[in-house]
Amino acid sequence: MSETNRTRQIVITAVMAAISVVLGATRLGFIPWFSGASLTIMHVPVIIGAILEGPIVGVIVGLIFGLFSLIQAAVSPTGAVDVFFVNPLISVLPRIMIGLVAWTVFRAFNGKMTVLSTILASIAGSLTNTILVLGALGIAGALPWEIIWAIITANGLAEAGVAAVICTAIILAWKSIANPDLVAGKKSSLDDLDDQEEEK
Amino acid sequence: MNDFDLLNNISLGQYRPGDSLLHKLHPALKISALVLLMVLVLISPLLPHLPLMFLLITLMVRLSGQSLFKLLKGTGPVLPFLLIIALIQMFLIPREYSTPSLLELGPFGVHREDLIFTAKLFGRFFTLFLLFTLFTTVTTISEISHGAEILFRPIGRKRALSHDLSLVITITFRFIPILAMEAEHITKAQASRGGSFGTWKTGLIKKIRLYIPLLVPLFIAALERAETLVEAMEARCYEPGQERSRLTEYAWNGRDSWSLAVLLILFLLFTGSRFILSIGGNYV
Repeated sequence: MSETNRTRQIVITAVMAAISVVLGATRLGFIPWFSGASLTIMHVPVIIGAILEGPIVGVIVGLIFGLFSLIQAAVSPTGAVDVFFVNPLISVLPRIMIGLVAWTVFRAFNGKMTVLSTILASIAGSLTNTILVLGALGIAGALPWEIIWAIITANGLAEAGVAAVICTAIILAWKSIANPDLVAGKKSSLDDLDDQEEEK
Repeated sequence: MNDFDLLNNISLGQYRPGDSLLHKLHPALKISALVLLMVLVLISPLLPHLPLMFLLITLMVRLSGQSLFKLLKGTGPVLPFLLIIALIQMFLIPREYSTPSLLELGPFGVHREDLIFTAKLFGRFFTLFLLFTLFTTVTTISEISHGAEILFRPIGRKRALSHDLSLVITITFRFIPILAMEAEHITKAQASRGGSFGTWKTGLIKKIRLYIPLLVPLFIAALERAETLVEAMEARCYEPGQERSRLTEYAWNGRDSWSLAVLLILFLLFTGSRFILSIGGNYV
């Protein structure tokens, strides 16, 4: 690990954590969904941090995300479940695992097949979040297990799908900006317009 | 248009300047006191510890010169939800009952265990709410990052991991308003192009198509800002893993030692009596 990477890791950790806080505080991170409980995409920065910069970044972004959801639940609670989120075993511990799981899945591909590995990593990370948080809620006796299973199937799968789409879009957009070689062979439709004008 | 005022919605607990004992405590002590008290609240049984903890924190509020009512005002929006939770806890969650139900309502009954569980839940919630609000009221962000650096110092002394972590906290807090503003701009821009936010479209695909033009620019802009910051830091010779000094140093004085001693005695008293109670078979 070169020192340049270390500065980048510090900054990207901080920026991803800030995005996660902003998504939570502005309610942008919640997509209204017909099951009543909103779909959350607040864990997307954790997955992206883990995929871009490795497990330590993922763990620390997850830690800050968890601590923030704890503080938000305790300082400006907005929903029914927030009452339980003041317990760090529910709000912090599961979130630390998101980055680890996402990075492990992404790493298993050895850097090949970026699209497929990103999709699988974000699905795994998202499911880790859903299952561990709701499992902790169930163990704490917050909700009956039947409701928890219903939420896992109704929200968890949809959340995993949304996270996969969004993470893949962001990672691909960022990677093609960071190294243009990835898209060197491809032309955008704007280039086609230029070609046509030159022909005229 | 209130949907777009994202910046105003961020309420992370307002710092209120003051000159009290709590304001002047060493930042590392404030953070460790927060963690210790949180652990105490989470493990304390309903009687008599929880009311005592609440009383103790009320006493600290008095010490900080804030008004208790103002700090508790933030619970307003959740009060209706608390009623729903109370109903769910009383009627829907099955428990092991040792006593006959106190009150019968058709198929449902209210048992002693239900009441105790609900009371414990709400007691913990209000106590922790007060604790966190008090903490953010008397602690500035730079104090949090400085305190965290001191507390993390024992781990990773060699590579100055603690400094990295406190830098992460500082940059995070610095970026929150910038990114909130960015999110506001992007939302307005996409809404002016016809994106209909806040409406109840049923299709999941439609919803994702609505959120992608919002989230991708937000993340890309944030990552580009991060790259710029990395370059700027390196251009100014930032070397990760080096020990460095600070503009303001917080000195540890006698007041801090006394507070730490009181805190530790309280912690031992509370955990000790908790332990004795649980041996006696009182799990209330």
